[in-house]
Amino acid sequence: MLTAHQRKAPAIAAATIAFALAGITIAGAEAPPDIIKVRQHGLKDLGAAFKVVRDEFKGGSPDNNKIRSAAAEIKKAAAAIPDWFPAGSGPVPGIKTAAKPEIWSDAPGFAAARDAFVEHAGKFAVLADSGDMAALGGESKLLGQSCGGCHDKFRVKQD
Amino acid sequence: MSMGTNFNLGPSRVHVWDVATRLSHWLLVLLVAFSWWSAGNHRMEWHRDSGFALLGVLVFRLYWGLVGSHTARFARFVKGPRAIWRYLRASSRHTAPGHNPLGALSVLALLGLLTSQVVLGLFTVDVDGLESGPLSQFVSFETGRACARAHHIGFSALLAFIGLHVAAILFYWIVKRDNLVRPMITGWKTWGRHAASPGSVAPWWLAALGAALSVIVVGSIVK
Repeated sequence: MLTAHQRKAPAIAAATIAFALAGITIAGAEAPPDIIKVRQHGLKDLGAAFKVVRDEFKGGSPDNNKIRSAAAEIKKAAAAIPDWFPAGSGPVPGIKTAAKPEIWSDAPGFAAARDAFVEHAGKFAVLADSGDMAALGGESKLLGQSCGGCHDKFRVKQD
Repeated sequence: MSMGTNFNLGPSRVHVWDVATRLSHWLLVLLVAFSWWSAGNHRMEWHRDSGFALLGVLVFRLYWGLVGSHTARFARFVKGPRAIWRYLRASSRHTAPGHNPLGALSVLALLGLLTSQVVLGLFTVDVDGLESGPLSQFVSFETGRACARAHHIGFSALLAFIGLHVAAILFYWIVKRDNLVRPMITGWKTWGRHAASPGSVAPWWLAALGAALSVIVVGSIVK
């Protein structure tokens, strides 16, 4: 005659295994590929660097050193963008990314927009080195607008 | 215009809302609508200007709530939970002119949410670091982004309370046959046999002082 505990043991074992499997499955499904995390961090840093530039032009006396280092960061991030969107890193159920499938379905369009931004970032960095504050102010606005070149079409609308 | 108590039969007209209070109310309506539209259509310069104007009106309204006409003063209509309970249970709801204890809660909620929205907007940064509030250079990108998220959530809360406010006004209008919109436009309300006690109307120069205060506060932020 089995005790109460012995009768329950198989059920408990089955439940434990089920939970363990579920846990592993969920963990596996929710962990996004590294490249998504990398590009999210990289683009956040880009935004933060761009904020530095915009903030400098808010006040009366923009600091050229701050702008120059921010411009270098923007240029570096821009150069990395081509590596950030490998095939298969797009939106799938369970993965959180603002990247739209058009990045891959319209690869030439994405490449053109991306390259335009890289060009602007390069121009901006050169201008920052020159220290021409008057031109820099205007160029920073153009640079900001070129972000839209990709974002308007290839990124899910953000708040 | 007679401001004395009226114990006669027949209705009496009482001055409920002064010009400053009415102007503040309708300016808030217009500016909230314009802020909403400008943000939704990405006219961020206009959105910032609208926010500045809202800040000015809110500074004035908060000041007026301290020194303004009787029905505008917070001390007069903000009551504790017991007064609210008594108001809800009273058989005759004819109270003095101005916000009843329950309506007072909605005033606090709306003014509070509006103020927090404006303050959050001052430090908000958009996702690209491109558009940002006028004081956002004093906080980090992360903080500015957190303010942006709170600014968005705050707007949803504000909309909910505005909806509640409009629903309450409609309820009064349709069910209780009490038009509250006209007094907020004209300033006058007709009362039944139950005479309403007169209240003080603050002088115009006090309002002018408040307007100057608004200009100073907003001017210190706008560069």
